Amino acid sequence: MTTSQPRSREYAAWRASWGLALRMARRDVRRHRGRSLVVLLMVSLPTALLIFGITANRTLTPSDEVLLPATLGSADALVFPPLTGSEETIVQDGSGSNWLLRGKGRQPIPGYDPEATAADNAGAIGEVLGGRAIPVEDTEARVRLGQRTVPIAALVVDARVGLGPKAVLLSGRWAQTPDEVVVTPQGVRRGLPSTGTLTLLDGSREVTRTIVGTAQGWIDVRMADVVSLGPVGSRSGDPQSGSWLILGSGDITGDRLKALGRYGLPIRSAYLVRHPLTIDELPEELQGATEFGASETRIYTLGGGALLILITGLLVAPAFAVSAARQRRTLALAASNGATTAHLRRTVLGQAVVLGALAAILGAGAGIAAAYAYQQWNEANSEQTLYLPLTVPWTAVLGVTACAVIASIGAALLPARRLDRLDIVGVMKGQNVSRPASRVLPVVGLVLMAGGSALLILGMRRVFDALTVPLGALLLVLGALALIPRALVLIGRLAARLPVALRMAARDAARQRARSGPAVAAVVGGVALLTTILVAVASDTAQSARDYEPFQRSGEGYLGLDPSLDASWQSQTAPLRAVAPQFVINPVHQVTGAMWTEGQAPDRPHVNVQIDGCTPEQAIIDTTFWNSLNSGTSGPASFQPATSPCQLIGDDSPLGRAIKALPAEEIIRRLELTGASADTVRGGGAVVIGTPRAVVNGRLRIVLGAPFEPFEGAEVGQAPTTAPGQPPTPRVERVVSLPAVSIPRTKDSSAQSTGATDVLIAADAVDAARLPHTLLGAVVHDPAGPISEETERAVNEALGARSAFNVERGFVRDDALAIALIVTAFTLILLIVTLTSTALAMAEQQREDAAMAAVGATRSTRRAFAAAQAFVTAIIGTVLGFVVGFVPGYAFTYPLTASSYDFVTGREVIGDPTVVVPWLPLAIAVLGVPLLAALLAAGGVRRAPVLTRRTA
Amino acid sequence: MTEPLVVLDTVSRIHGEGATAVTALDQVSLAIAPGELVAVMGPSGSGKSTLLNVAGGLDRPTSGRVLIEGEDLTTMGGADLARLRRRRMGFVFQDYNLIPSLTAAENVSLPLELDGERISQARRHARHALDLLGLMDLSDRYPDAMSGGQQQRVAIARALVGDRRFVLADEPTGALDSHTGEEVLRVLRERCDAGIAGLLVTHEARHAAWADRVVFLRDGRVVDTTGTDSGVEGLLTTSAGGSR
Repeated sequence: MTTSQPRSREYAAWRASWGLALRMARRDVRRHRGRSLVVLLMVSLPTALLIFGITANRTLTPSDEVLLPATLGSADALVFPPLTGSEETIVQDGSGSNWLLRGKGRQPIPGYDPEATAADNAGAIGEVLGGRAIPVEDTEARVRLGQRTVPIAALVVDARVGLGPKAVLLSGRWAQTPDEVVVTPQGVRRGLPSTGTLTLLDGSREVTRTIVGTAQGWIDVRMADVVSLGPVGSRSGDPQSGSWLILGSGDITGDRLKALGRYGLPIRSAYLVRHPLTIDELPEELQGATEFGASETRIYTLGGGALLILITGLLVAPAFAVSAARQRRTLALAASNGATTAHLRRTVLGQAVVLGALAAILGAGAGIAAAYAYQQWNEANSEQTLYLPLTVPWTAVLGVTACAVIASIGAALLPARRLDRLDIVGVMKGQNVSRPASRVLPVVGLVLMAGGSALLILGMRRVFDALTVPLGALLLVLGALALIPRALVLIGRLAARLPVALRMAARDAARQRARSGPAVAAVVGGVALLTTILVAVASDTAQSARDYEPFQRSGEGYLGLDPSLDASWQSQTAPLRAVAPQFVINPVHQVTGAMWTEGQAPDRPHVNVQIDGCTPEQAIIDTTFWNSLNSGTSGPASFQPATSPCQLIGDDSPLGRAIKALPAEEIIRRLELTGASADTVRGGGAVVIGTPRAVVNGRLRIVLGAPFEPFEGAEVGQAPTTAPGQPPTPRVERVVSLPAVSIPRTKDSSAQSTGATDVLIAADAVDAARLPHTLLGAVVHDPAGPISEETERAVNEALGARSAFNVERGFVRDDALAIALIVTAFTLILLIVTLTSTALAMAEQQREDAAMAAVGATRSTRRAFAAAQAFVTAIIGTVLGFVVGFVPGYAFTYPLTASSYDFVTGREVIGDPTVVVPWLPLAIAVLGVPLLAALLAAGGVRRAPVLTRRTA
Repeated sequence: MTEPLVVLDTVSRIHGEGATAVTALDQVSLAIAPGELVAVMGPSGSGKSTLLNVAGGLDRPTSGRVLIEGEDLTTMGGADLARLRRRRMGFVFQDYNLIPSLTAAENVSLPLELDGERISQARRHARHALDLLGLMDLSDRYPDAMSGGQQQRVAIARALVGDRRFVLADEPTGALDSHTGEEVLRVLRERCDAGIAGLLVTHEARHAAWADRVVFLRDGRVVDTTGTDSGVEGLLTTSAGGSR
């Protein structure tokens, strides 16, 4: 006899055994529909949620590849202009957004003129790329619609060449001259006409364009409002403002990209977006970031999968424990007829395979369907028309589906493994008691909990990386799960003085740990996770509330005005007056000389407050400070924004503390000034908030300095973020001295002084002192009382898109809905778990019905017993889960909230964590779930104990 | 003459309807006095257990009346019947039917606790009942830590706890060895001698010998009644011959 014959026989037996197990499982699924439905829900719900989340996220944050039709259309590449003023070559990955300067040696592009427009340079770019370069620009402008002006987004391109899905003509024709435009459905949705003319505002000029058709035109992810051939907006058509779509160049591969890097041209290649370079193929300089991103994605994917397996396993385990327990007699019969332990295990595992696979597929389908529904809803409700096609990440979906099946099999593994200790004689005699609790398991649990706690403490102190806290939390929960059997035994022993129903339930949970253990574990896991989430969310909200800095007095409003509009104060505030004639509206000016806008040289003076102990020159540029800073820095990378003690308020304050002007009476009203302070303001004075050193002998000194070029890397009004080198020499033009009073900065005074303001000057005094100023907006209040939300809405509707009117309403919580949804979802899951276990317990106790009937039990008694069963299972789990979940919740929250914003100093404060326990939602979970489960279990009892059933 | 504690007056019990109707009890009348132990015998399917269930209010007769201390069980609602079982009668089953998650004392005090008695008081009554049966040492043991005989004695203690006057035992020795079975019946006999009424369902003549009277059922009808003095063995012989 050959050895292959026994092997093939073994294989045949194995196959036959699995065939039988799967056949039995399929029939069992059909026969026990209720139980099967529970398993299906437990597996498919988390699977569906996770797949919905992944798919929705991938859909809402589309990859470059998904966006190719909108960004490149049928073009081979999108080429951005080379960085001007640099001689360096670049290295890049072909995405167009990830590139670095590499070093000197850039080759000039033949025929390319950096001062010329994109249209003028198209030939040179096309030549270098080996194709036809089509200039393309996305820009913003304003159009006049009746009395309103509306900002629009324009795609400036000659779409006649055929750009594929990037620009698709819907009706009419493409623009053939710069005076013609086509309007998109998004533009029409926003109120633009689809025929006739369009009036564009070009600075103070109005330009009329003829609408010749409608078309879709995409600017990255969003649809443009118009597609134009000619420039749109005041800066449209400038050098450096456009890029080029390249047609007919063929695939821009990695080698071609490398070669083009010599010209300093950032390129988005359609080929490389579809076939990205591997990490090894990437230039060395770009490998690190890509590798980090990839490993981060791997960690999140693995973490998500592990979490799914854990949660699904915990949820499904009670149902499989039910299944295995109910099959015990059948399995014992099978064993007495020669079935091996392996055969028995396959019977239980077969169900897991059948139900797990079915549920995972259903869950995946439901998740994708939900994501599709969400995408449709999002598209219908978004103000923008976005290019967000449903993107299903099939690899992740397959991974999650596999994880769900693994979770089901894992959940069935424990009851299946217990079958090797099946007491056939005991089962046939009707005995049904769990084996003694393991002595090793609690020790393992305690060790895991100790390890988890240690990691959490280290995580709180930020000793290790960001994974320390999640890992510690996981170990803590696993340790707690290992302690559950011993905890159940202990609670059973402590139940002697409880009423009989609770006593029986506690003892039953202790005796039937094989059934109650997985249910309690699922509840512990669920509540631990819920507690962690709720503590983190509530703490984050509390910190936001603590750090919230009101920008106005409560119930009063602020109207932001667009300084680029040439409209008068009267016309800009007219909509407010129309809606609420009783409003008191006061203009807010910022006293500043350096309102720098893009493209405009900083040729106006710097206005700063002279602080006590500082010279007027230091108020302009604190050379002493900057020189000391320079000598202490080793290079740009180590340089952080810093504050000169002499530049606290004004144009050069890194904290953004400004000097503002309001009518004197408004200052007095807002700050509730009385007596001498009010008189000072009325007399043309100022109020200094929070910086007493700005007032010397009752005077405020404002220094006007001559213009200077900003430091390298700095914007005017901001601290330099790179080492400035040798600072320019300050030149004081004049110093204005005003009478002033000082008040401390509090949250109230911050709100009263319109946000980040340190000095309020009476408007008349600003004019008298000839201080430069710019209109920012208007503060608005209603003498009758707080401005209602309804009025606020009405004002904003009247204003249209031109400006926004906001009323201060204090910190508004926005987490209530999220918390309600989270608590509801967890409550449902916990109820299902608890009731599944209770149903099994009640089914197993049918043997005791005759005894209960004999001693006078009624339906109410049976209800009380069912309620007690559900309550005990749930309360043990929820209390343990709360205790276990609170620790990681605290640990997650501590580092997150330990840094906060100090509204007085405007600086980050470390070491003052906000940890809030949201007692109400937690009480719903910890106490409400057990009570609700008890109520439902009691309500589910429809009949009195069986009275006359023969029990022998 | 002593007033009977339990009276079954022409009781019939028919299961099912029409062609599938099965008469489990047919016009059975029986009276049990305090201190009397009545055994019910008969072949399988003769209606012994149905008689016990009807007498204990676990099942309702199709016709006839069942009176316990003058109260008609057939007119009582489910709650009243349950109250009666909690306070005035106790059952002993063949397979003990103790609640596995309760100790011996807790099993015995169960009907009292369900009746709202304070735990400490119920436990005191339970200990007293266990003491009467010589089971005080076992009061804190769980059923699965006791022998069959001990469990059955605990079940008897539960059936007797408090002010119960009527014990119904359905094959109480069926799962016990002969020696233990005799011990259990001796206990039952003692309790009846102390004044309670007992109804014992059995199919063994030697167990029926502990009773004051034996009622023989066949096809739901009482085919004979006799005191133990008149010779149970004789009745059984006749029954086995099938001449009755």
